[in-house]
Amino acid sequence: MPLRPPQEVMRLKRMGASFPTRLSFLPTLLRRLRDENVTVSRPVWEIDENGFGHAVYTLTLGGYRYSLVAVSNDLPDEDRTDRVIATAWDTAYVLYDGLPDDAEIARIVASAPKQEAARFSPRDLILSRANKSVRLFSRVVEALKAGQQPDEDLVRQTGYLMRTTAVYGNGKFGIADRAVIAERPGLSGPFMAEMLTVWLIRGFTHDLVEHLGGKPLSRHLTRHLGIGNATRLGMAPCLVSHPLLLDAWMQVRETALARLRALPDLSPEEVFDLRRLAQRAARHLEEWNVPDAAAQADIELLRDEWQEIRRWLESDAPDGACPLDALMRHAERYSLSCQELTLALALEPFGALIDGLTECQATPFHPRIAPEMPLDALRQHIAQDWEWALDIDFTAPDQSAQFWYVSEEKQEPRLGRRYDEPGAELESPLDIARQVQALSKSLDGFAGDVPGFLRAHPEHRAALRRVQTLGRHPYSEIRDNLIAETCRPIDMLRCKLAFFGAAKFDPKSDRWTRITLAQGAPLFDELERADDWWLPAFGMT
Amino acid sequence: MVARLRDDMIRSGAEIRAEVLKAARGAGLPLGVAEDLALLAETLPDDDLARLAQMIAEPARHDTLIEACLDQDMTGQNALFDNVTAQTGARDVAEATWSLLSTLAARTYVPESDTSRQSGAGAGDIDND
Repeated sequence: MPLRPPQEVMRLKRMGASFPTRLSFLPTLLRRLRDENVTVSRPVWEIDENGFGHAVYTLTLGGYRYSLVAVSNDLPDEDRTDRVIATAWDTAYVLYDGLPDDAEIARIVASAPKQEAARFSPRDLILSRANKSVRLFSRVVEALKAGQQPDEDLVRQTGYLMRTTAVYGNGKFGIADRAVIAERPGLSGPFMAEMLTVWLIRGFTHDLVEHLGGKPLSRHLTRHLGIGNATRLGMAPCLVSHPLLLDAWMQVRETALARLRALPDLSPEEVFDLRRLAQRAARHLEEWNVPDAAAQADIELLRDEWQEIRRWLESDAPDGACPLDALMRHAERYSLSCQELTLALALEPFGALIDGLTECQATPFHPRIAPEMPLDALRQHIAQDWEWALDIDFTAPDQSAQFWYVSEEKQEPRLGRRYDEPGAELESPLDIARQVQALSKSLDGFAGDVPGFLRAHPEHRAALRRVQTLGRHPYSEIRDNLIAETCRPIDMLRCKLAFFGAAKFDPKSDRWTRITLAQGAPLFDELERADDWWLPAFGMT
Repeated sequence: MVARLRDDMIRSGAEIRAEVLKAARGAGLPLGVAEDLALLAETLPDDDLARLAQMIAEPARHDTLIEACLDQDMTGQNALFDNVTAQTGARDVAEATWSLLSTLAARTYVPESDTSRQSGAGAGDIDND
């Protein structure tokens, strides 16, 4: 069974309709924690009666000890913001390599709250910060203090006690390079350390409200409380600057799908599982409500379409030949969201057949120039893979309306309007389609070889490498014009966040979204549930 | 705590890569060359990194850098920095070197305006829920 072609898969609109799957990074991590019988302990709890101070959680994974140091400070309400230019937060965190002694704890307590303004050490693996949900946090504490459980509707709607606004890894601000952990069992996958950090932070937020409220929160409410995240477009360029990684993630997912579509039939248990999961997904969709009118309309359409998918599953159609292939074909008559949700559903019951693929999601390689490629072969690659880019008129305002750049202040990636504001002469090189078009024009009539071409045209080196890389890694490029009027960074954000395992996408604009991670995920003491929490519904057991 | 040389600072491998990428672009080198120099930089001992930074800063040396990249395509090695260690990762970088790289990198940043701060990154001034 062939993989879905990249021309179809690597389009912003479809990427922007992604859902988390069991192959996503957080579920993959939690299965690993379960497999290793990981236990989380909390050797330090120095949180005062107002909820301020610090705590340390620790666990052993793959033979290595890791600890989350959580620091909670008093933040005035008017200072609370999710912008990366914020300077203070409710809480700050370091995932530490080992068990920190008192001196290391003191160091982290002093520096973590400063975030980007401080320097960290290679023993600090991940740096993060989180703000309280103004809607929910104090309401939960007040309810517990009054001897009650918090209002279920409020918990259901909010879905998290705190929201991270950055989770930094890989060497930023002096923390450990990814190479430090890249070979370690359990953390070698992409963003595994970040996912571990978020899962531990979630547990801390539960402990914190129980500490302040003086009573335990009921288990079904606790499970429903994940960690929110506010993601701005700073995350978007990552997909462009890491083409091999993007290709790896896509190839794993599409290979899994193809493998399952090739299954000639399904057992009654598997059909039952699909129906059960589809029902749970329907409930999840009912609980997913967002203020943005357009996004809410999309969700409501998806709910209707999902009923059709469920109708198909409840019929005798799954008894036919290659039922998952038939299901995916059936979904093609509906929206992209419905198609991608159907994909995620199809994967979910078949861990035994596809979970092993997750080992291929990380790659240590970098794209390289292949000097031996004949120029005609290069031209052929461009004609085959980049035809869509060659046809674009980049002088047209709508095709070049936007430009990516990095701001002087806090070096924050941003998206500007080329014809309305200054700075386009400093634009970041995310205009891949335009670069390849320029490469193609220079190649026209050039006689010689790749080294000769690159000597004559060093300005095309990056584009040439991308074209060659795409030939070997067909999912490494987004096949849309990233400087067009129609480019919505949120599509890139959602794609990456879905790979993390995020759900409940809550767009605030076309370049900023809230999400919830680890909602419904196993708590520290129930990792045996690691295999069945995809698209959770409130109160599900 | 790791001992530090006076005035130097430990930089992670990722920071070195990112800074050299921006510095090379800021100095006017083509993107593809900047990408290669960034990867190279992570493998260089301190004095070679200083030498690379100086070459990046000097437009007259750019042809040499470009040629070295072309050479590396064929041989796998950069001929200008042939005592490259296989080691990557965090290390001390001389303040003078980092300062030079940062100054060049800063040429790639777009200065603030109220508009850009408000709308460019997509989040509102007050974002709490």
